Amino acid sequence: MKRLVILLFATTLAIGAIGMWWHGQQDYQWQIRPYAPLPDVPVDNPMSDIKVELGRRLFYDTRLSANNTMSCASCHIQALAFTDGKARAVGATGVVHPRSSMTLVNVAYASRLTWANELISHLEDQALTPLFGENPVEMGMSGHEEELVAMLKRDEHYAELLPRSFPADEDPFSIVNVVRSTSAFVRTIISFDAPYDRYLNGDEEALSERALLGMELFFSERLECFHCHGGFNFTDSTTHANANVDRIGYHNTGLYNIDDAGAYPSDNTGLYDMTGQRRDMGRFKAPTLRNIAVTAPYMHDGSVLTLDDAISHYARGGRLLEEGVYAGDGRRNPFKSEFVRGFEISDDERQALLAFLEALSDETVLADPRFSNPH
Amino acid sequence: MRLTLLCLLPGLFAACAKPPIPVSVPFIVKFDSESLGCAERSGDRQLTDLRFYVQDVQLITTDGHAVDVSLDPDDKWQQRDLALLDFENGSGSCQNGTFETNQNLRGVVPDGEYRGLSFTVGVPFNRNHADPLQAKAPLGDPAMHWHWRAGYKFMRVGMRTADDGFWLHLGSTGCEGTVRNISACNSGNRARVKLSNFVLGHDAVVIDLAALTSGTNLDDAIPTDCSSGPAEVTCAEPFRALGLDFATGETASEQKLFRLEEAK
Repeated sequence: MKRLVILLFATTLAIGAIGMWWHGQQDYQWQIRPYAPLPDVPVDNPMSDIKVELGRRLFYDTRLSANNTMSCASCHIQALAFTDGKARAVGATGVVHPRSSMTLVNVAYASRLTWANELISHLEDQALTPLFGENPVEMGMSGHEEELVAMLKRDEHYAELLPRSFPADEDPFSIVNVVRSTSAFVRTIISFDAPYDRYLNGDEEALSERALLGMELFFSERLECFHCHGGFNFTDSTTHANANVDRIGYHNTGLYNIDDAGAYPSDNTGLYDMTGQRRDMGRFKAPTLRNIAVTAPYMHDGSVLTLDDAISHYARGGRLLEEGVYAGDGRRNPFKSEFVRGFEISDDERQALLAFLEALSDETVLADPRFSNPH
Repeated sequence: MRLTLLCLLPGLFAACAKPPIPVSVPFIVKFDSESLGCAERSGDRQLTDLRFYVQDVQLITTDGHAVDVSLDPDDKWQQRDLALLDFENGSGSCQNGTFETNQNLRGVVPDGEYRGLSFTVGVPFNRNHADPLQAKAPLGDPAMHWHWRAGYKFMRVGMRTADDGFWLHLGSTGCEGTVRNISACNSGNRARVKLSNFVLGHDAVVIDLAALTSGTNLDDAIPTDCSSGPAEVTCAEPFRALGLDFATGETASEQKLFRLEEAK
């Protein structure tokens, strides 16, 4: 156990050393622990304080939706680690999204974005979907591009911040700059101040005995949690400024097995929806577990209500739905991940595991005024 | 002077002999024989959207050779080999669209005798997967880009009836790589259209939405939605009307969506 912690610590130190070297390359001071790696930032959208400030205003601006009812923050609420507490997100016109809003905390380290789309690796690309997507409608801005640009020019803050954020642009009042600045802001929402981080950083009091037992269970071959939820960001789909390998993971965890041939609900088939390859049925990205205690309900469709239920799901090695249109035994799903094999867990161990998961909650990021509504 | 010199070279005589002839191909929207538009109903059917890209426009010579039509680039609807046709005007039954419409192709072909027209509903691969935020017209409209599929909606069709609707987004699926770095797609879903009796100056191309929806029940109060997804059973009939093999994304049979009619 101790060796594991030392190993983790040494690895992060090494990454951090390279990260510090890289630190000065940008006009933005990342306020993160020195052992944490820096996020990968696209070369055509360098960070700057002014751009981040602009992005924060845009993130919280309801004029980014067609009917002025929702902003990015409507589905990404800071106190809920930038999720919305709903099983499935609801768009500006009331359309229910098939999937649950994902956390934005540490999304700067995500090697792929959203629940199941191998094509999207940068926030700048992803931001277009909630803004302009039509099926389902999220912010509904498709067809309202000119209104959006006119609003940017009219608003006194944007009239000042856009030219300062993009000084090389002949005309900075553009959708591409909305996308770039909101992405820059979202990239700054970084969490490394959970009790777990403080423990790694040498504060031995930061984790309770119970949480320490939970950590041991979490990183055990018996429970297998860390295979998919591993690394400094507790997900196998992680990248950073010095990463040289594209790490991506999508897993069928046996949530469904409607036809006993592996089927998931037709509006939520995971990677299969993109590739049409049968083997991709029900494969979704393992989300970060940072702040997981405040992001219920769980899974891509919010169909698991509590962390305790999530543990039960994995302990059984797949979920049994005895009745209803989705009835089936997920444990027997032929496309299920090899790591979801089920395990025995005592009540004490379950409480310990819950205590560890709760120790991944970072009160700092949930309340940091740098990420709050500026309007 | 230069032209005269070129004309002395063997093989180029024909090209020099006569100037190229202008091409204008009008398109009209119908449901069977009735006109359909944002302000024109056919029964209780209303158009809510119709926009699509065409690439590789060719006329066929009377002796059977395909000749590229060079479209007039206008920084708005047309590049040399790509055009956006747009039949919605953002009003009436069509919401959230653009005020302006574009209902014909404009270009030139070398002088000659032609009978027959072909074109592809689609966007050429490289431009289809380039950065949409840096794209030149007619690829700059966010409504035509399919962000999460990392390419364009080659065609978007929307129709509604009293209590039902039909929605088609056609585009490439099963793509590999990441946005701006797509290497290949399992299903290109570009529909090649051949209208062999087309006579330039005489015919218009009819987009017959009845043919597109012939296999779809428009009166069962269950809106039909096809987003070209490899798993979407609702796509089978619209793809057949486009002549596309749903499994491979290749043109495999004769399309039914486009036909000819005497231009007015």
